[in-house]
Amino acid sequence: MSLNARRVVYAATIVVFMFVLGWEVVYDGWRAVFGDHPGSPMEGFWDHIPVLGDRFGANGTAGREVDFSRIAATAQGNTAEHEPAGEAMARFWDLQVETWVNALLFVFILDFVYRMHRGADGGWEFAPVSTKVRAGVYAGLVLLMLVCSAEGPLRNVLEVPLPNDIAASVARYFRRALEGVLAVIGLMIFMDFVRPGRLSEARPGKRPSLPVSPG
Amino acid sequence: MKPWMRRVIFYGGTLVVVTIMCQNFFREAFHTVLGESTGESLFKFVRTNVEAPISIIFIALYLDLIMAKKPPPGAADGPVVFGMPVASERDEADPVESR
Repeated sequence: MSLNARRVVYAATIVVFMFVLGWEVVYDGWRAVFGDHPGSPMEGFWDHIPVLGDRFGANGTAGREVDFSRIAATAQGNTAEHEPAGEAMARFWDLQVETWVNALLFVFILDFVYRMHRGADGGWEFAPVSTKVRAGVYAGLVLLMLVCSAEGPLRNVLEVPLPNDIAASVARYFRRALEGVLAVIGLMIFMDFVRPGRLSEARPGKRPSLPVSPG
Repeated sequence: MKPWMRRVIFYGGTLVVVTIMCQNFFREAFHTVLGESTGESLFKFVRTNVEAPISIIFIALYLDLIMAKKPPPGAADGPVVFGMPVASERDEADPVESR
């Protein structure tokens, strides 16, 4: 598989995660796997699995509960400290918005802005694009940061072409992505201002920049 | 240490960190060390940031699976051995054009 094909597969996988993990169908899949509902094909399955059965199966008097959940209350009004295992797992992966945004932005900035590649010694080297282009990337990220932080105005804009519930969902998703964008801006600042010496294009015959242990 | 062992330790260790961050004994450890209030507050802060180790895994996967054999800019996107592109049929046909 070519380099571009691998890039496309990676990006497509992350984008699919972004779309799919919030779907009710996926939630139902998790609930089925962990036997949250009576009549689920997996109901009682975990009771027969050592160790995991204690977590996902007959969990004492508390029922099928696991502490994977987040701090917010569930839609059913439960405190999310304890909720059914399938529900908790579905919510856990649905809430990984920052992860998907962070990974997608940072790896492609490493790839196409800093043009990270394998060097002659097998280590990593960089051949960054010009300062102007990098300044443009910063500007783009700051713009994205402003868009992500303006949930209300973004929702109002999206409500024009989209149904209100979808517009609210998309605006909320952008708001949750804010941490990922901020993290990538911070990583770019580190790359540019803390380690600029390593961000020069390797010249032919140049000695490896990393120390090499004797022998 | 062999590269695959390093990968097992890195990816496995990060997954263990993710799992531990979500477990009740981790919360109880915070309570024991820091007290009920401060421990609960710090535990919730740490667990809210469970995206960090998961991000690390996905970024590392890109470096490991996609960038691992990426040649220097300007080089052909062809076969690579130990980080260096090697001659392909296209190179042999017209090395100047393909580079």
